[in-house]
Amino acid sequence: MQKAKGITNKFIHKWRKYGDYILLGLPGFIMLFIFRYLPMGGLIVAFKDYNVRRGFFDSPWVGAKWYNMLFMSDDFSIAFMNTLIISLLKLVCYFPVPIILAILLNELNKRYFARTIQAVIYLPHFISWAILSGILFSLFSPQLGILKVLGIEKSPLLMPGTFRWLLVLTEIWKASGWGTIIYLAAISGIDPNLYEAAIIDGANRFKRIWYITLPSISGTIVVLLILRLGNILDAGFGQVYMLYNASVYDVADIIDTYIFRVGLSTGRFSLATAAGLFKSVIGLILVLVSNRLAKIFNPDAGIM
Amino acid sequence: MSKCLGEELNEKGGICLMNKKVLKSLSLILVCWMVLSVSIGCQQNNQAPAPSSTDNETESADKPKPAQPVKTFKYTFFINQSIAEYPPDGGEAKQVIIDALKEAGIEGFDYEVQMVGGGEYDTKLNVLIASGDEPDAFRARNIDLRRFSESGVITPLSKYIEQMPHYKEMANELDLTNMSVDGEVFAFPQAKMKHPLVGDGVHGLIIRRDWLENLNMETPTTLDQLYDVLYAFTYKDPNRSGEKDTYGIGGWDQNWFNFAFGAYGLFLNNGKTGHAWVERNGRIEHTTVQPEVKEILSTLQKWYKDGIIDPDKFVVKGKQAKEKFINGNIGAYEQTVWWANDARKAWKDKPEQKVEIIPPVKGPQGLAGYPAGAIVNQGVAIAQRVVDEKDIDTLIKVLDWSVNTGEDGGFELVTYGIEGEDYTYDAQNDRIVQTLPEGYSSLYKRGFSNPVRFIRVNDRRWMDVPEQIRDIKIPSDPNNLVYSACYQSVTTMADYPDIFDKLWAEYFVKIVTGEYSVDKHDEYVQKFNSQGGAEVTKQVNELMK
Repeated sequence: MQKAKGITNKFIHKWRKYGDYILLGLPGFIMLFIFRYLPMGGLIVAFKDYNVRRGFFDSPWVGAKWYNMLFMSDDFSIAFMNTLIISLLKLVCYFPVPIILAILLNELNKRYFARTIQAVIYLPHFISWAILSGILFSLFSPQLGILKVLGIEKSPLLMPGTFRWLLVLTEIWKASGWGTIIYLAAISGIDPNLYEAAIIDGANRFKRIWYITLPSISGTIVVLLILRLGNILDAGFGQVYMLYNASVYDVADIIDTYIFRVGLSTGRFSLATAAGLFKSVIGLILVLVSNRLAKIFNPDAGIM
Repeated sequence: MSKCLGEELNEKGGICLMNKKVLKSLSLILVCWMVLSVSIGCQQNNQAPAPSSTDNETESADKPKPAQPVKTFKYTFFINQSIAEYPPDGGEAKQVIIDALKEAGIEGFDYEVQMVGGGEYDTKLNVLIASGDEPDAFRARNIDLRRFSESGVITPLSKYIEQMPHYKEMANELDLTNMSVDGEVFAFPQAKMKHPLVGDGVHGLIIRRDWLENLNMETPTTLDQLYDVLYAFTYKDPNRSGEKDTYGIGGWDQNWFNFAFGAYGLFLNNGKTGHAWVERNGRIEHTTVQPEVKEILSTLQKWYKDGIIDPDKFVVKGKQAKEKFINGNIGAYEQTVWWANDARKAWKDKPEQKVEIIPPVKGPQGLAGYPAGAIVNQGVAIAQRVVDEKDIDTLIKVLDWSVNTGEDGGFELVTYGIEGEDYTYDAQNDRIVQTLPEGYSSLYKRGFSNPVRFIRVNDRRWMDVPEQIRDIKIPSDPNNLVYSACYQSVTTMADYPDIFDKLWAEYFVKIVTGEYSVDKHDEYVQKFNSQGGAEVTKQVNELMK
């Protein structure tokens, strides 16, 4: 009895102490639970022959049928390889660009000029791929665009050799400006005394960047790299779907477009879920591995 | 030790941003807002198909019992069209239609039309079905009917067709077969009015008549003559601009130059190739694996190499391709007659720019034709839930009323609006004379026409542009058409969607653009068969026995 009273008192005490915070956080937790965790239950569809009328629970179990179908399919393996190649190209070519841009913006002395540049490079982020694809079709049109001036007679969007690079370039153009925001925030958190001390010691701009700015934002870079690695199988559905065509299917069909075409458009939800789950598991493994690697090199780095 | 966020900041010399009272109020507001949102959401969910009339159970038993009021259900219609002008609440047309139905003795009907246009329709429909929110009536492709019927989403309709005298009279037997799964009809195909302008096709090769005149050239009648015309359109300055700014022929990325296949007696239609079948020696085979296809691909490859096909052709989508035609960048384009008229409308201030659909060009064996039945591969399916939860008999009556062209029917009302206000009927010439100040927008805005044509009836009595009437006569003539040997779907089609969707597109584009040699067609045939085509062909042959 005494013990129970003690527990109640302890609870009341804790509630008085932290109740406001719990209430404040509650809507967020509930939203997270409803929209992020609850839908995970639907993953069982990947192991069932999902029938809409029967629902999640009454549809028959089929084991790994959909995975066998996926892994036996040439198209899925092509889509998987394309996804990896496009993602890695984007990772290698795109990832450093926002860092470099952020450092360059930080080095600009004229505040007004820096703000203008920022506004200009943020702009493409707000334009959807549906609109951008229209602009790109016109831009790369041998009849209407700049290619006509250059005398190019075939649209680069039709060439398997150039299509992936176009994806990378357009991704850099669209996303790198917006990607600078986190790095700029990290840079603004660096203690100005460090720069002042470095100037007194005779460090030029490059040395200040190399010895102060980059090490100071390295934690942010590592976290973003880990998160990016987790999404390595997200090669950019919207971009590829809007830009690809039959001529470049073999180099541009990614897992997401495959799922969309074979799974969602034809209503085979089990197959689409199986492919989606496969993607997520690979992503999770990559996050865990890269986090572990980051910890080995620097115990303070990483996200967990 | 308990401190609020503000106190901690204060100790560090910061500004107190938030005291405990504010924090508490904010938390409470957030929680209350969330609870309110959730409860509203739940309430909306629970409001499912409640009948709008109530039974007077509380009235005393000795009073004379009033006639049982008819329960009204709201039926949702989902169509693959996007009409921005259509009011979400149905506009003034809704009440007019409901009143007209009452006059015809049909009560208990209310409706809501949901629309999604373009390629997103199928995906959206699949998502609605997967989440158990399938609409009551929706347009479905016949290739999907088997899947929907096997999962029990849609209800069989053969027995209801017997209750629809007006629809039955106008429905084409072949179209009904196309909408069948194992002999049972699962969707209402559009009905066809018996009229000289209503036929089995709407596609044709649209060509710039003024360019032909500028070049002193005749309308081409053979593939070779067409090549000469397209070559001249590309290199002989047909628009007299003094610049090389035109191409012979263009189109959208999934337009397969069907007329070229028709010139070899083969049926092929734009987009997916699931319905492209031809009979050879008593056996049905897929169009794309025929040996003549190599010859066609070789011709088209030459056209591309000679620069007469727009280099953007395999990249652009429908709307952009149409813009290129209207802007005068290309001289020929295979599309429906409606698109030709869109060009005429766009050029209303430029009477010198003329366009027309030409009869199909002949191939080496004298064969010719445009694909028939381009619009009968989809129909209106009814969800099983209508049978389980609503009143299917009422819905069937409404559907039949909406195609009934008689005095007690609603066809003219839903299609053309109010007689005397939106249209008049010229009985002498059997024509519908429309008086629409803003074109069809005038009808859409008030809730009439396409969104509420619950089952489409192919009626062309409204046509008033002589050029358009001339155009439509070409694909309406069965002699100008090539028919597929099978328009129906078989189970395995859904198992191997990529052979009809992706494989053909990939090889066709690569061969025509010169990326692959024509001999790669052999590889295509081998892949088609090994990736499921052989199995589908076998099933198609069994079905059509």
